[in-house]
Amino acid sequence: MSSNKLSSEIFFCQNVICRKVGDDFLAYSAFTGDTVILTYFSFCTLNYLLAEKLSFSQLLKKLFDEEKDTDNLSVTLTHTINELIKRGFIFQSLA
Amino acid sequence: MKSKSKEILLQIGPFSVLLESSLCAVIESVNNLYADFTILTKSPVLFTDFHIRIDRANFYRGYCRSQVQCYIDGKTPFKPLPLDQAFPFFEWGLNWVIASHVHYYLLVHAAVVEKDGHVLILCGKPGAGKSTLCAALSCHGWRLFSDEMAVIDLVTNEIIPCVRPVSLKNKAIDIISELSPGTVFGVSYKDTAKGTLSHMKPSKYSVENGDVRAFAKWVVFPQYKHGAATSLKELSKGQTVIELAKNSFNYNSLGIQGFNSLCDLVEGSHCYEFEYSDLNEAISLFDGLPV
Repeated sequence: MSSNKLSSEIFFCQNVICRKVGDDFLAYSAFTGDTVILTYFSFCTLNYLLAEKLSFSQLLKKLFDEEKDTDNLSVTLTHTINELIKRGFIFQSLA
Repeated sequence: MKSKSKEILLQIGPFSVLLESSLCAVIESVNNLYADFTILTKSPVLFTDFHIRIDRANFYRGYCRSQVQCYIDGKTPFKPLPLDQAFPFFEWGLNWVIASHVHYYLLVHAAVVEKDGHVLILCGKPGAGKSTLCAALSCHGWRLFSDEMAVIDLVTNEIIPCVRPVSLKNKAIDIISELSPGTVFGVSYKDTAKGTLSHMKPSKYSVENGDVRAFAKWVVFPQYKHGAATSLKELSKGQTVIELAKNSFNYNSLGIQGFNSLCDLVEGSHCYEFEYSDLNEAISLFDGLPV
């Protein structure tokens, strides 16, 4: 899914829990029963969406401070959202 | 040989298990391997968690050759087995009934031992050598909790002992007999689905302390490899949670509660991958694990 398509949608998390265990970031989706190890970036993404529903541009803005490589931020976020949607960690609805 | 049906109500870890059988071989094996266990008295006020009956399969099933059937709470979830595998059938039936019915504890397929109040969880695929390692450690000062599953209290995160005979297969039987000559073994069952099988009687110390819980301190994924040097490598906690979840019987049934329980357990533990071929070296290494 392209970032253009994603930009028209609102993202949210439901029945998902994130935790830091040792040096690792983990998340569990009660929807799919999947447990995954997250990068710090995807951990931040999930945590923002656990706190509130956000659009792609709102997420980009919030993540701006977390990621040094701002040129690729949009690409990284698109990839992260797509992966987490596939695994049942993020849900989408039309804005 | 068939005789009048006999009932034995055993306290096995947190479970009360009613075994019923008319087969002498089953009763004799239980009397031998469960000799130190608490035998409960059946009463209307005592709740029985599982009722397992081991008896000859019906006439038509047993027409060509003698077979045994395992009845769990009156149902027959398995195909019959040859009659001489009656006692292993009880043990397998008990594994199955706990793994598939108990969802008030988190259950992980693992061997578990304890020393000085700290629990060592040995988790891995069948054939990884966890039962052999568990048997060797329990013959050398470690308290046996289980060679089949880690039973984890979802509220306190303590590990609950579920002491039973240790099921050893093939070469492991001779290895443990040689390593600990005083160890009591039950009958050797040949040509089972897992090869030759024999059960090691748990130590009296382990059985008598069967209600003493403890917290996990080490989670280890052992792998026996012929000729391999003893090697212990740290494993990331994230990967440990993933591996324990894969080896859990009911992680997904428990949902977020199961995830939190595993994370808490791993957070408080040292986590390793362990490769070995020499049991004496393995015992020395585990005796010196950091607390």
